[in-house]
Amino acid sequence: MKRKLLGELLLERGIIREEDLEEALRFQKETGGLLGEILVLRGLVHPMELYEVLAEQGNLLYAGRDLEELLQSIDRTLLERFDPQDLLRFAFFPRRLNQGALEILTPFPENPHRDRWLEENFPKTAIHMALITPYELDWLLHFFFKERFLKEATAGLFFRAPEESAARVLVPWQWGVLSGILFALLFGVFLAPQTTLKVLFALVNLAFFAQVLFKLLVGLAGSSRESLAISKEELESLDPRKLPVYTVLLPLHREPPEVIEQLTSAIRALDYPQEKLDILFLIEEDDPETLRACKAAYPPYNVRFILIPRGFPKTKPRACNFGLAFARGEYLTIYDAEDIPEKDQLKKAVLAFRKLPKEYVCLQAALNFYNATQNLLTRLFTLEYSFWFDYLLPGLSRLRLPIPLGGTSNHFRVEALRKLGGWDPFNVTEDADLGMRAHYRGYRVGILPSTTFEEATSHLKNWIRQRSRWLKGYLQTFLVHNRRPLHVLKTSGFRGWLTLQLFIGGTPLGYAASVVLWGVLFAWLFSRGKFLEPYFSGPILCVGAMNLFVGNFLGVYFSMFAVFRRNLDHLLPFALLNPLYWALAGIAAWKGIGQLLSRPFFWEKTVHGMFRRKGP
Amino acid sequence: MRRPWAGFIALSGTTTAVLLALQRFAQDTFALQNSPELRFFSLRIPTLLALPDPARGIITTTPCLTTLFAFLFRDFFPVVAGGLTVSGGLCALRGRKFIASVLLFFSLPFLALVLSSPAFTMGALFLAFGFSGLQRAEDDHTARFLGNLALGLSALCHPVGFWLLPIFALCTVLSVEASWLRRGTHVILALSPFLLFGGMSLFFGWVYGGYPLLPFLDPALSLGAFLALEKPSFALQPSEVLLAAPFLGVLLSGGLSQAVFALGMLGVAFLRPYLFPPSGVPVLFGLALLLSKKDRPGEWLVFLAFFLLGLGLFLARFPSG
Repeated sequence: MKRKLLGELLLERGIIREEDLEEALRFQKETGGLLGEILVLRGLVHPMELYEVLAEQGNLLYAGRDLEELLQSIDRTLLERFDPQDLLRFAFFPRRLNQGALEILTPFPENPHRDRWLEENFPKTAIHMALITPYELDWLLHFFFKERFLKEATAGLFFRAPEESAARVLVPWQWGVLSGILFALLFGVFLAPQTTLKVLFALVNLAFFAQVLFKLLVGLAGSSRESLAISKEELESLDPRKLPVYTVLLPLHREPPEVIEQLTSAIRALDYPQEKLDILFLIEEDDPETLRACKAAYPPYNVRFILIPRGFPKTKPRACNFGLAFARGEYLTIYDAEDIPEKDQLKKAVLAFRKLPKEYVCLQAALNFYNATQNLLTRLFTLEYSFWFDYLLPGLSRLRLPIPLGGTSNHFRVEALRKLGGWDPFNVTEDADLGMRAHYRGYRVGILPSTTFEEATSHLKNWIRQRSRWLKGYLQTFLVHNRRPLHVLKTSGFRGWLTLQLFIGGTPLGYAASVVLWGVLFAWLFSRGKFLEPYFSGPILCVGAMNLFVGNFLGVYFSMFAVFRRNLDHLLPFALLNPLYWALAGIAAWKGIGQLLSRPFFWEKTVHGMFRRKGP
Repeated sequence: MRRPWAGFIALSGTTTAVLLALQRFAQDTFALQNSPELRFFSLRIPTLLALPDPARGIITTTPCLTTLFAFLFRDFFPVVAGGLTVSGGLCALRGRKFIASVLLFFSLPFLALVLSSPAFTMGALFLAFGFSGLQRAEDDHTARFLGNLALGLSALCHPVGFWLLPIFALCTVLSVEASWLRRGTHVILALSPFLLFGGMSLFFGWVYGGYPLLPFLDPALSLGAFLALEKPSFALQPSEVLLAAPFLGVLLSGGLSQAVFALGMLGVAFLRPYLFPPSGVPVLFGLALLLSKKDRPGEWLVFLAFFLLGLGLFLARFPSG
């Protein structure tokens, strides 16, 4: 007997109207997606209804009607024979052994890869299948394996590569070196205070100068034309049927309902076939408000809610690692709740990955702000971000140096990301750490010519919290990768090592030092050069003056150029206020240093939703 | 050129050797003996050396970059400055009328004048780099950045940079086809390095001298003030304009702003007596040839003939012994 088509069955049952079916079929022709998925994503069919009809169509049983009963039917001893990663990869769940036959639950009855895998691992065993929705599969996996996922998310990297984990702030030899330096300093101050301070000033100024030079070279490299250009024609010529599944991780924590609404709109606005989007809302178990807000926003059906179990450390990378286990895409990206990526960003990323060699495992999109003109702080923040993402990171990429990834909009090849071990849950700038780790393991990070717009922190207190976390994280990354300096030298050469010292270590330490140096400058001005004369003379004076004028000027000037490039001309005069902004960063750096010693893994949450966007 | 650094090193080595030889040959000549620039540095350097902290003296001298060079290289400052200038200029010109440029840069009057006006040479080179960069700045932000920076650096080398930049700013406003906000942005970007370097001198003048304008007005501290005091030395006038000719060749490859700049440059030359060009006609003719779209040997012969005329003028002022 000829099997009835899905559309016919849905029409017969009166679940959809004929015109809806026609439109869905037309859409299916264009995108090559599954009809059921298209109908669900368009909100025309409830997933449970769809699977009931699919079960009828394939003469199968739909097992998701009564979840209590389903749970009781699962043979827990059988589960021990399976690795949850395999279950996720092949999208099935073992139910029980029934008279020698293995009963499995799956949303995709036709899956040759899974069938082959089962044949290899359960030879000569009959396989019986029952249907469940993808949401029920996630739920079962979460219910039975969450402890294992959590362990992997939290301690996976630490157990596999402890030297790459920030779980320990300092290893014993680092303690020794730091103590030695401190001891020598105290000894020097006690015995020869003037010489010690002179040497200290000289060293700080030289290091600062080296950092200025480094940033100048990187900024110059970044100011040339984009090396990875993606044309409009290339984007238009993409065949939607050949686009891969793209996972989007969205770690959410204490997000206001307006932010969730904005996020849902941004997801719907993405120019990527919705049935090929695998969107994961990562919500902490102890955050019912966010969960409620997410449900209330009625996100599309390609959104899955993943509840992150309680645990330590409670950080975004831990949530992302947990989410990574559930990722189904070939590629993956992370956005923050308040992010608004350019609509074609995912397509651009796919194109870029196709153009680039396999060694490129990650692409970083530029970040900028939609509330740049909200107040002075957001203006200065925009100047900084424009320089960082439009000049410095592209410069690092062009010079083939390690790139500390920015907070969001990092696009990964999922397979490589898993090989890298995901994010370090103990590092509070896990993205920067991952970028460095990727480079030191021989991979490369590229720059994607696309922008994601975020909300710039507009309140000073909130900004300090965010910045102190970032700078603390950079210090963590600096300390972690400096545990094996020879390995760093071997894998990425002197330039890679220098990047670690001057860019990763230099950023927080430079900010911290700059506050002190500004203080010294004002003391010097107050005394018209007399008071500090013994410490600032000869070459030290020259280098100090260079740092003061040239260093600060280059920072100001680069940020002027950065906003000029983005046609944000109205922000240009505000670049002159950058030294004030850097003084704030200096305060945050000291806070970060303090926290590194007292609460190294504490994640200071940045509050979002303080700005209301006008219009869509 | 596949290895620009190798080319740069080879060029600067050759130039330095040629300049060293020439310096030895011409050290007693009128041009070098009576160069106001060299006199300024020869007075300033011993004062700096006598200071307990020469660094402080250097940063309170305008222009401070060439003072630093003069301090570091003493008698060889003109050679070093000339070597850097010629090789830098030729590297910048690679692929663009290269042979013609080499002829210009290695012509005897030019090299001799480099020796007598090293600060001006460096300033003019940075100006050339600046304009050359800005010509390519349409879609190349590195060129724009470096171009603007070079314009600012010219003010750290010679007072001519200070006088020319406001003219340049005006040219920019007139030449950019954009909103007034965008035009203003262009001007701010172009003037920022210059303002920074000017601000530096004001700041150190205030801290160390108690008066911000001191490094600009005191002839002992300011090359500009010193030059203004000097009686114009007639023999050096054509030479200094000839000196600028190859740089202007770099600059004037087309465009309204560059043409306006050239006129501005000549205007400044008229305003500053020691830049007055009695040989303006051959300079302009030479520039016109340099602007021609192709290298034409015949025209270059004419141009070189004018250069020989300049050489004659220059050498005529050399005392016989």
